[in-house]
Amino acid sequence: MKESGSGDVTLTLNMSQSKTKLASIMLLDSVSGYKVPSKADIAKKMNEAVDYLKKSEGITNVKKTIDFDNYIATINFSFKEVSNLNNLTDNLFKMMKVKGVNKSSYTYNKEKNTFNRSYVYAAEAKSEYNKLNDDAKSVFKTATYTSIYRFDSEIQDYNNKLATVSKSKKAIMLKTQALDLINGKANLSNNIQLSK
Amino acid sequence: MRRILYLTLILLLPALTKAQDLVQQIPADAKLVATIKGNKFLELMSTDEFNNSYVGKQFLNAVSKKAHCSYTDIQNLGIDVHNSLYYYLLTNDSVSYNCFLVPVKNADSLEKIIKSGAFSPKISIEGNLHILVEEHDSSNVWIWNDKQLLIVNGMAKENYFDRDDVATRYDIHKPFYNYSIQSDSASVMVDTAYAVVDSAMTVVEPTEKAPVVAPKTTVKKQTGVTSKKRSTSKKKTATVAKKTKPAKAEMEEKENAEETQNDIEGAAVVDSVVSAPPMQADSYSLKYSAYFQKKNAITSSWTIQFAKAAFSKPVTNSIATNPSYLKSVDPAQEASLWIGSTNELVTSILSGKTFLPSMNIMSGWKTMTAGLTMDKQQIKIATRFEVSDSAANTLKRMYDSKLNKKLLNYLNEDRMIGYISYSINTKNYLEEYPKILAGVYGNAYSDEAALGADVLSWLLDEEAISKVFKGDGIFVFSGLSQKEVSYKEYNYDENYKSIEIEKKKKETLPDFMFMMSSEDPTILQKIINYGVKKNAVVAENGYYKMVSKSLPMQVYAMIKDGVVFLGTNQTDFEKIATGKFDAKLSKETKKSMMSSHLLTYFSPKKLSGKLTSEEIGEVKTMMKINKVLGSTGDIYMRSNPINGNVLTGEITMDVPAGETNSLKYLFSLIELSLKD
Repeated sequence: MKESGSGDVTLTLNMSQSKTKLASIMLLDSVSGYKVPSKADIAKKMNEAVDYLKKSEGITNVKKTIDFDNYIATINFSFKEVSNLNNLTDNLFKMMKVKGVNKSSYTYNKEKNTFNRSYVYAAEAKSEYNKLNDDAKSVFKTATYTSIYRFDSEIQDYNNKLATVSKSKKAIMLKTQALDLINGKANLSNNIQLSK
Repeated sequence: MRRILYLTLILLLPALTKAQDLVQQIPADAKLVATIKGNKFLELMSTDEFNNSYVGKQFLNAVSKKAHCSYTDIQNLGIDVHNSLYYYLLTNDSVSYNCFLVPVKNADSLEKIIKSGAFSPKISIEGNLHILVEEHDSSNVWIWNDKQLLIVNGMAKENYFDRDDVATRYDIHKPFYNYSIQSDSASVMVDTAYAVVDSAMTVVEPTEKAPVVAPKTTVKKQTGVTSKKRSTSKKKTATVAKKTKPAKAEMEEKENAEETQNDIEGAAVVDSVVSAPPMQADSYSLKYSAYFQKKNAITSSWTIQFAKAAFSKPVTNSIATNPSYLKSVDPAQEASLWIGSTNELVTSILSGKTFLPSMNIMSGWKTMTAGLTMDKQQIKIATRFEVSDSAANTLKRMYDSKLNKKLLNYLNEDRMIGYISYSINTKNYLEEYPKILAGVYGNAYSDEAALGADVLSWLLDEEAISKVFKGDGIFVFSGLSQKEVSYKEYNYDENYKSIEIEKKKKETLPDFMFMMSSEDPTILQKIINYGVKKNAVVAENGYYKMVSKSLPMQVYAMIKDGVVFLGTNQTDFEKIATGKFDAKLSKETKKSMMSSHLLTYFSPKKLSGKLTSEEIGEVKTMMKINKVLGSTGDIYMRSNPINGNVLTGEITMDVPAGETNSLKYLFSLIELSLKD
């Protein structure tokens, strides 16, 4: 995020570690009662997400990549101001028909130079997870979530103990297990004080 | 030959009547009869052994829990475990009856279980007959005396009630999904009430349609008593429909229910009324619910009538007089299945479904039998199909093929965990297939089916396709192996800039080899050459390597001496290419493969130990799975060439040496897999 409050976002879904299993699954129509989407289906959903972002207020430079050899998908876009990000990911997940997604809202106070992520755990995440069979649950065992925020200014303070600051003090990383997010054990809220 | 058959039947008949007396209760027009012979199972395992086995204890515990009473001996359940238990199916154009016929040893003990909470305690007594209509589903009827228990499930055929004449006769009309239709809820209620009132009358219907229910005279006698009462009730509810509110109509219904609760038809009726949802709003779902309940009430009354008739009148023409059934009886079998006419049965089942067009899926398939034998060496299920001359000719043409002997040169038994070998005649198969399709859909779409068959034949060059794919092949599953797989991950530098790195990990992947014969593999070679040009395939020393990253594993291909190979083990391909493949196959396996059209083999024991905890999850689960796999005998499934008009096949499981018998072995396997 730049000092002006604008910035760039990169969302990456990396399933490369399970690529052999995914390649096998992609050869099937369905597995354990779940329909397997084709590459065309996945590409279509990604295009829908891109179209949605392009139409969203303050969002520009929307790009996507899908690597079906390694099963890595990315979406990049720029935002005019931080408030443009609110509800964006929620709506994206809704479009993808992903239920039980935890909600986040972002604020940037230019005067105080604070960046805040407010995270609310959705209990539905756990109930949706519990509906899965053991095979499907095992997918989440080794899954991780990583978020990195980069700023033009140095980070003076932050209140999430799970986060760590880079050597340059201009980036902050928060890494947690996907299961901790599902079970509500990890909190992604963070109030970051940037230098003035 | 015929004299030998009759002699066999005469010899078998006393055995049937003596040892399997309940078979005499099964009507001759049963479409399907399944038998479980208690005495045969007891030869393999005594009741004491069963009671003390893990499976036996689990079973008795489950019964005890349900019945709220402690049972430690299977003989105390009231069932005659030394005799045979039957399942049979009777069906006509309006209803199918699924019947379980169980020999009774002690009716009091049996009733105690039924009464003690496992099932509905409302039991009616008529003479020496005890009758129970299940509360949650009144089309399930239990009826028993001191010799036998009959459990009947009646299933009305959907399309029967769609017929205009039937709908008018029973005043049962399936509602259409249409929001514009409005009627007051009272009239919906009357529909339900009418179903109730009319249920006794409706029992006459199946007797008109098919001989599977009680004779007409019996029905008249039984329905005569209640018909007067019911006609009064009908009058009452009809008036209610016109003049009173739904709440009052509901009260009238309850009165009707009380009036009739002492007779069994009433029990079914009360059930349908009590379970009716509150009718507050007029809607499609309410109307459908009323329609559904009315249909259930009719089905219930038919089922009750049918069940009673099964006890009140001795079966003069039982299945034990059916030569086809008698021919299927094998005293050596522990359990058996007989279907008089497969085509008739399948057509009858499908004809009841409104969403399916009239199809002849099993055209030409006649009697089917299956038998389970459990001896010391193996557990075997043998199947036998009799087919019509026309179907036999079709099958003979389709399977007029033998496995290419050359394929056997690339098999090593020591490395085969499982395999499937098959042989069909591709050209004949492609020629016959459109005819089969035309036969299946001929009833519903004769013109379209004939046209489709011709178009398919015209599009396919059967001769050319059969040159490329001769129709025989072997798929070999040779195991699981650890292979190194690369994947991408992100590392972060000190300033959290992401760096994409390639990592490697070991994964357990299956090893397989597929081989098939090809008289003219030119087109396949051209496809491979095209792949080489497009860098999707890499030529190695006499074989090819697929380089597509979308494949879950590395795959190799080769064409040699009229055999097409596709597999995962590079070493095997190198050996085949250089003519150094170390083939090893026993005479028995060769003979089995060459004499079967389809042969499937799986050795769980050989797979044991190859599964890792990474794949399965917990070490404990992995050890358990490996233990079960290690204790399971080899499994075979084969289909033999058609002989005359008879198609046979079998599924077998070998019993490891040292086991007392196959039943005890099976119990020990179940214990191993279920016990913690």
